[in-house]
Amino acid sequence: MTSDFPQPVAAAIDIGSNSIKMTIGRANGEGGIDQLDWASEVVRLGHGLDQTGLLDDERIQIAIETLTRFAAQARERGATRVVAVATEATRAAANGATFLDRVREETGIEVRVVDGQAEAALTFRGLGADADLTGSVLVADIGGGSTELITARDGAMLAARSLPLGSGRLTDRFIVADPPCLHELAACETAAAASIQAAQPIRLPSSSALRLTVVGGTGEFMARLVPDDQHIDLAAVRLVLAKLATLSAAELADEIGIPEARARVLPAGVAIVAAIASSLDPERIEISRSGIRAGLLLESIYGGVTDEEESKTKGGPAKKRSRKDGSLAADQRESSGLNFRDTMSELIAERWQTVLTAIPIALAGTDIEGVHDVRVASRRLRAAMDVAAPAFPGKWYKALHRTAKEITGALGEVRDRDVLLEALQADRSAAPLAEHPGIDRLIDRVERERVAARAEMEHYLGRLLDGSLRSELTRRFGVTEAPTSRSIGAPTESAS
Amino acid sequence: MSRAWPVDDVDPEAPVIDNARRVLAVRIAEFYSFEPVVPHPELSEALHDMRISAKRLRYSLELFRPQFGKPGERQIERVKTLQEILGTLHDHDVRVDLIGDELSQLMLEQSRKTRSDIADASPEELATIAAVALRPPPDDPRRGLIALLGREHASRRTAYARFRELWDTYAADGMRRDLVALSVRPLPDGHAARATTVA
Repeated sequence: MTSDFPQPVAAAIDIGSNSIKMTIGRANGEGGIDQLDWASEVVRLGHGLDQTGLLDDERIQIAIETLTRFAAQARERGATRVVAVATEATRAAANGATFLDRVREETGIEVRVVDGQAEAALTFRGLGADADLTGSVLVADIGGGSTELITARDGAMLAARSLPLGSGRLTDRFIVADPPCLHELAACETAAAASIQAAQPIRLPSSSALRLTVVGGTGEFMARLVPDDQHIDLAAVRLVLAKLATLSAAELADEIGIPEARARVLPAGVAIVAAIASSLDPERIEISRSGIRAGLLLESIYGGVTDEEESKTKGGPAKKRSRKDGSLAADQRESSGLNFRDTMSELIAERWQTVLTAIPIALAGTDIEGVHDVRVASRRLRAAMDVAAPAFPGKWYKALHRTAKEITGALGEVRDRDVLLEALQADRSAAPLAEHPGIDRLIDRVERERVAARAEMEHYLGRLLDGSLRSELTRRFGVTEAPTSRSIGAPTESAS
Repeated sequence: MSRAWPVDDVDPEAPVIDNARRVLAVRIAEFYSFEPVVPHPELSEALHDMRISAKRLRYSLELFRPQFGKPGERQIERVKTLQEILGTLHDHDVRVDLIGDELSQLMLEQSRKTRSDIADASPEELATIAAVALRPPPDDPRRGLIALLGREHASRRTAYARFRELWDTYAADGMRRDLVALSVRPLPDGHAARATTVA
């Protein structure tokens, strides 16, 4: 039954690693959404993130300009509410929080950083409006920086995993040629398959007739390259890959009507589809255009999951429960069958990854915030490991917990000197000349202490990265792509 | 540095929200155990420990952000503000110690030099040595260190006053009550209204 009353209009923005996208929609009075307008801009916010651990200044500027335009468009279309989420690039970058502060100050948009689980939950909710979720389904939301895999049976979400695997990330790592060489595409597929294998096992629905539903731009654009988008299988995906090896980004952009920058990363996205399909052997592959923004709109307009949806996700009778804005992720996690241990395991994996990603910047020593960022990341990691300790009683966990604490300590001495030096320099520039000799004496002292502290920190971190930490984190938490001291140019034990 | 209070009753198999509330309850209790320290600006170490405890509380709120929703966001902002001003206070304490230590070292060095100069001086030179010791030259490093130390103490007093002001404001606004409300399971719909009516 539709309502005669005016329905609220909202805009949902998804700040991904490749693109920033917006959907504007209105409640249709039947618990769904009517799409009014959309916008998309290829920003490549995550470009270079794996190399630097940072969002690039130029990309940040483009993102803010894009969001300013989107906010104006949303207002013009009558949106009374703009909701925005940021995903892998922002959550992984050491300067992600700074970026979001600028977005808030310059555009007025409050952005929520969602973790992989929340991202998966929103995507799944959005899918309900569009995709056929009967039977056993594996949903793959392939983004620029991460891929969310969700398993579901008869519309009920069973489990979700977020992998640090995205079309932009793989392009940055493996693709140089334009058009991409077949061996570059093979490297993307191999890396994607390895990441899927290394992830904690995903709980697949028991039925053998598994369907793979691909959401996001990769699926939508790949479908434009297959002869029949109603019948896609692994063979069809491989044919698309072969075709992509013959088309330059400009030619591909022209052929399927997408921006050239987006075309540049599409081959790696299709390689991820191929890797998932060959690893999990679905009966067929389907494409859905709904996803996280539809989920966000539903959340924004109707609040948390409805009784009907709850009944669907839990497979049981609806319970009366009021939900406040923002509780969706928790509820979805619980409805997905993830208990505290599973949730904390994924959270700890994400936080270790953040620490490891930030270490190279601290070691580079070009920005004093680099040390601070690792220290903050290690404190956040410890906060998670502190409360999760009862869920992981093994000695291996205690050892990793101790390592996290040591990282905070190793950086503390340097950070303290960095802060002191900054304050002393500021004091000096404001002080009369007669006071300079005393302040200079202090600055000399702190600089000497800082050099010694940095040497110790570099020695510790170099040893840490070359030790067994990486393999232990991969084994215990599925953390991949940790740097080594060789890859970041840090002094090794023998060199120091 | 004080150790984090252990959270003994975490149930790994329970839903996240249940454990989030248990963790938060302990962190709130830990943070407010420092309340008696608040009126004592001279307790630098204890105020520093309070700051670390605030950090733990804030990280726990952030850790379970999706579970605590919007009411949690407000608490994060409050705890963060208190933690930051306590951080400023600690930074001043560190600098006061550093400058004081450097000043002591410098005066010791100068004193040793004066004694050495006196030991080697001719009777005519003694008057000059005394003049230098009693009226330091314009570029004597003590001048900058003493001025800096004075400014640090003044800034610390300002930071502490700001901390007290914030603490009192948040207390009047019911910060502790709001935090505790997050850590307990809400009553089912209707129960709160009935309870109010009975009261």
